[in-house]
Amino acid sequence: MRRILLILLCCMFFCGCMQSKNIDEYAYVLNVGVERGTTMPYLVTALISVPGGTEDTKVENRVVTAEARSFSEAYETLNAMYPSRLSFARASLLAIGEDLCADGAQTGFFDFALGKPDLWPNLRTVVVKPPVRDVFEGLISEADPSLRKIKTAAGDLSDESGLTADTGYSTYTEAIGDKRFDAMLAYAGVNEYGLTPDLVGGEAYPYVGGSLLVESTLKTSIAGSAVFDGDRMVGILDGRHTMEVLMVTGAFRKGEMHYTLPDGGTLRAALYRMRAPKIRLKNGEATVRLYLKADVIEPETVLMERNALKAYLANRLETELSAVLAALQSVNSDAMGFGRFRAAQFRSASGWEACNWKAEYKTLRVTFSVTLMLSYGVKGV
Amino acid sequence: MNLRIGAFGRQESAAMVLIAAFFGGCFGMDSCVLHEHGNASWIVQIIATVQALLLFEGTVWVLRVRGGNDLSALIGKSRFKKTLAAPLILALALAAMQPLEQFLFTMTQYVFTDSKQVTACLYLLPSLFLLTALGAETLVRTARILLPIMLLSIIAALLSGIGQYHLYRIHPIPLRDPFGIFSLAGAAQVRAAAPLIALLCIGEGTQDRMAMRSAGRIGAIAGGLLATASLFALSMTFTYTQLQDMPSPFYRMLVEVRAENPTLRLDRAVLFLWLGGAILTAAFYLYAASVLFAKTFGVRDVRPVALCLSGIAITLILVLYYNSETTAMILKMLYRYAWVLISVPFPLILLKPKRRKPCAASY
Repeated sequence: MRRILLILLCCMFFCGCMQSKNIDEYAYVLNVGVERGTTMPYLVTALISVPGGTEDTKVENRVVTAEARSFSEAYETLNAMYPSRLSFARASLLAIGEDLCADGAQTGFFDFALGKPDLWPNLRTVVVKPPVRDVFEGLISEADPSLRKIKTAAGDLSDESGLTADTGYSTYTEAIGDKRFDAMLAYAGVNEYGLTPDLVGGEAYPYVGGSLLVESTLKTSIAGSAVFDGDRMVGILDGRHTMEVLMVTGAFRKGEMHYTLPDGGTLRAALYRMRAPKIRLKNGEATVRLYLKADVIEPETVLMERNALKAYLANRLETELSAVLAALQSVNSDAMGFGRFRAAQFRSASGWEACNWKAEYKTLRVTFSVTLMLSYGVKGV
Repeated sequence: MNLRIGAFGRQESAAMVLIAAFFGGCFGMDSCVLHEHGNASWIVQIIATVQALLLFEGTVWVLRVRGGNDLSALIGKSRFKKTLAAPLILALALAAMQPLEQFLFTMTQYVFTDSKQVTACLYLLPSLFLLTALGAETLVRTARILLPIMLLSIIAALLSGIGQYHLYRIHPIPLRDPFGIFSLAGAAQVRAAAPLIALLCIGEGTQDRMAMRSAGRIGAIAGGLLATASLFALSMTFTYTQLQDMPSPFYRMLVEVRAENPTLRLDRAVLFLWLGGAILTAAFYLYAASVLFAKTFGVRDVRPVALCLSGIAITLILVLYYNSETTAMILKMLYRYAWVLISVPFPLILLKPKRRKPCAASY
């Protein structure tokens, strides 16, 4: 009797074998993109890694597209049209078309909140200049078939240079669902499609969203950032202005800045965050204190006296930060995240929900104060 | 009587209470309800743990005064008190269902996405049957063995998400809403008190009342602190508005890590370890409820009761998925107001029994 019971018990543990699928039946999606469709609201593009490519790589990348009304529908359509069963478990880049973001139409698309399909919830999210297909094809390289290196490099670009924002999908949805801050996503595009104007303007900086002015074997660049007001994209910040916003949000670690000095000379400075920024918000006024260290690269080219240079750099940064904030306020985007500090002033959720923070933000007066430590002679970031 | 309590030490029982307190605290309650007043789950957990400890200390004191090793000694033979044991049994069964329900949901929504709940239940049932039928000694000794790896997995999970923690997310702290906080703490009381009530039910196995007291204290305080720390970490990972729409917030916290993080895909391993902990917790509660039932109503063998209670608990969880919204709503209301099942009968059980006057001899 016990043996029979034991056998019955074991049978229950094998229920996972029912409707099981072989691992070879799967093809893995590496990137997912969505932009405006022609016959249906959305055009979904997937970059798929297919085992059994060339002899060297053993992997081949293919780009497939499908039009749909939602992500689940696109998932079903792509699965139906593709010979292998698609798995989204390894996808680590989500690209959203600029055309969709402009009117906030992208939010209706994502209906995969419950984990179906198996999409990683905090995958890197970028805004791309359509067509998404070209951007994905521009990322394919024989040297890096899994695209792992290029994606890691995108994260490093944010950490090491501050020229782009590295935002996960969770943070992006948090920004849309909550008014504490507005999203700032990395901006990607195909180099040959040209420059995209920056929201702030002013001194031109080599890194402009969608157009990295460097020679590369890859046709696609990720640089600068797209800023949002709620779910609507309202503009693009170039690398330099992105770096300045990151300084205020606290995400900045290090980066390199180029300045034209009053005497006509050029200054290259490597900036490092010394400590987290201090932000105080009271009665519609905010003070932001930034603590940075600047290493002057090639100091022999700089003729200014040390203290004068220090004051000039701090003042220059404060002026630029004010200009970036004014540009963001003009489009109602709280990408610097002052709402986080406003929320901390409430002692009940209902009080915070009743607060019209965006209206307050429009008239918020902010004073930037940069404490700079200057040193000479480092080779750069 | 075949109650299968056995004998075990302070370490084993403290480990069992700790695991149960952690899983009850973190996986017990509907996230939507828990965060309806803001990101206050960690405050609620602290209050609930203190409430549970006071209840436990009070009961142990009464046991010391009246003499007795477990809860059934306080119930005695009074019919009224026997009736009061029924809500406690129900409260323990509900406390067992809550983490199981959440794990079942997580498994079917995030891991076995093509499976149905019934299929996933087949994983839970045999282990639950086996553990409840084998009795207290097996349960607590398993807990003692599992504890180090369980603690390691919890710490690893908390550390892996450290890059996503931001203090601004805990705001606004709902200090102006004490009524809301205390109503939630009341609802959380079942989850915090259930490990200690279960320990009181199997107190006989701890061999000594003082050993039971210190095991309860250590387990509840350590488990409560661990649950509070985890809930605080959760509050720093998601805002309260996000948590209101999140059915399995702890699993979501595990998968919040970025693609470059070395702990990527640790989620499945940790999930199944935690599933083991949740099954152990549920089995502990169901077994304790069965012992209470058997001792109170004079059932000689605990196993049929334990098997029945496990079956009922799993069936009710499935009812939540497959039945009408009304049934689900009733069960959710039961979860929320289950504190009544403890708060009302417990003080009455602790009351001193009336001594009947001896009948005067009449000739």
